[in-house]
Amino acid sequence: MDMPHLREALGEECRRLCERYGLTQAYVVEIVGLRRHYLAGYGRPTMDKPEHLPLSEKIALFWHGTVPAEEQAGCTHELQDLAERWEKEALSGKSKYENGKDAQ
Amino acid sequence: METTAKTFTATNTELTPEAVAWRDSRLERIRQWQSKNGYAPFIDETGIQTTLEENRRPPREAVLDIVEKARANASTGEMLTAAEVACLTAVEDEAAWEAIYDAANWIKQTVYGNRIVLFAPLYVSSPCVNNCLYCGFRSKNRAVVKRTLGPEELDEELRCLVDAGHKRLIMVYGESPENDYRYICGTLEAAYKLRKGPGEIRRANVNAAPLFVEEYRDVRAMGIGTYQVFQETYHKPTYRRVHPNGTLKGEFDWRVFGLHRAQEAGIDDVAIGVLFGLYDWRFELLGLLHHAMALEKEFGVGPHTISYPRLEPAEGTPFTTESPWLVSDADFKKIVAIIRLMCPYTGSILTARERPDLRRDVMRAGGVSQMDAGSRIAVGGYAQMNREHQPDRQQFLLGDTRSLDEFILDLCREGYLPSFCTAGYREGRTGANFMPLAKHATVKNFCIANGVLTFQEYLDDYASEAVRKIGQEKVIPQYLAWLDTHNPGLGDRVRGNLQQMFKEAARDLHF
Repeated sequence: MDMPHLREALGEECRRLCERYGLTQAYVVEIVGLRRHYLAGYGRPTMDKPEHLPLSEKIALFWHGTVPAEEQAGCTHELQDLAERWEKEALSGKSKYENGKDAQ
Repeated sequence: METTAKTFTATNTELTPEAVAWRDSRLERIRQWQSKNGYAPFIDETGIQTTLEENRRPPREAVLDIVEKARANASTGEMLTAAEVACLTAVEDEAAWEAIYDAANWIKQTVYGNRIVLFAPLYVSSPCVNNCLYCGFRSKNRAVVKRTLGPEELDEELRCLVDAGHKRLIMVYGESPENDYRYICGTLEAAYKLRKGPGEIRRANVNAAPLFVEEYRDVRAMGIGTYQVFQETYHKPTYRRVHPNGTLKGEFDWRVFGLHRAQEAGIDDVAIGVLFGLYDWRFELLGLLHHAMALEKEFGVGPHTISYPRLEPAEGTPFTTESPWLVSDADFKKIVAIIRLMCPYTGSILTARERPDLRRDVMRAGGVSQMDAGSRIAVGGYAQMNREHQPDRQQFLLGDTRSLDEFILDLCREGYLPSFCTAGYREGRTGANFMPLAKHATVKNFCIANGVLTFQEYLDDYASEAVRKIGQEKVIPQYLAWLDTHNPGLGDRVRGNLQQMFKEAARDLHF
């Protein structure tokens, strides 16, 4: 499950969103039943309930702050691509641990 | 899930051929894993003993300095060093202990606020191929009947829990072909599916045997909260003595790296624990510390919670009363307080194994953050047992048999906020996103706000008249005022949610 390069890229995109829209935090989660499993992000949460947007079937973007509704789809293309890669590589493919620690 | 209830995979004290084959095959795979394990060992027995020896007589000033450091760590999430923890275990001065207890309570208040998160244990399946000397569920114990819940029985148990007001479970499993990871997945699915009026299970944690990475992945996919694997003892000679060779649990490294594999599988909320009474509690505390440090070092995420069950009497299990390392009440209180000081960010779980009077004392002096109540630890016990023990179906005997409502009434009288909060893991505050909140002591704002909302749900849907009265008149106003003081504006937002609950019967509003 650990995909450091993808985590880093997701975190970088979250940082870009935070800087562009003045968000206090943006983060990407995997939807696992009721659990919203944190994958990567930037910033610190506030006490506002976060907004969220699906990026793919199992991945969603959460953020604290305001992203104008009309810009939400447009500003997340890169994240959507990364989310799809995460689904392909981390959720259905083999991780670096697949065959045990010594497989790295 | 199988459609019918099963009985144990053994007759009398002998495992069935199927169970033996499953155990032996699994043991072979476990030993293969251990032969390739690349993780660095983190339990150095000689090193721990030396650390304890070198810090056997700490000067009072040094102890008080450690206590002050622990207070400061509440805002940084730093842990104490092994030498510092060893010093605390050696304190004899009563005044210094009072300083430690004060600090433990202060740290808990600073990180989590004055709330107690409530949960219920649900014993789902007790058959076990292991033969641990201290456990009532061990394979050779004829005095305890082993059971695996079928779908209807599980549903009945879940309904009892939901009817009492529970929202958070720790689901407990033995280790056998009857309750392997596939059975665990099926029962988790059933727990999450249940809806009964306003009742539902919002967080299911798991206490089960350590798994292979691919098995963890399937369990993870059910959306679990925390995965608990208690090492029981970090002292290898003791471990080997109480977990016979040839059993799955007999493999120390398999278990001690069990949560490393869970992290590999993407389960980033993991929980550690010790069964105090198997070996010297001072040694075990350092074992817990090194385990927490190893998880942080390898994955950047320490334990979500630490548990500290004490060896309790169990039917047909004389070891539970004969161990030379049984922990006194006084030492138990010290253990809980030291855990709070050594690892300030972690949740601290005090269970109903302990008596009510001790729980009242330790929850404050030890900085406890989570407790169970209304617990039944017989498989099928919630449905079949009202207030009576069922010692022939239990892993051990309970000390606190108060109902959830009675327990909550006591919490209210003591000034605590009873909480059924499960918001964090449903809003992505997991693993590396949760840790900074706990380490920088800001998580309490979420804890109190969500605690108020979930306690109001309990008052509206499940509480007795006595709890409703004290909750509505004292507890809710007290914690709304706390929010007004500590996070201006937040109290009004919570009041808005409470209005929505009142006017629209809305539920599960959370931050």
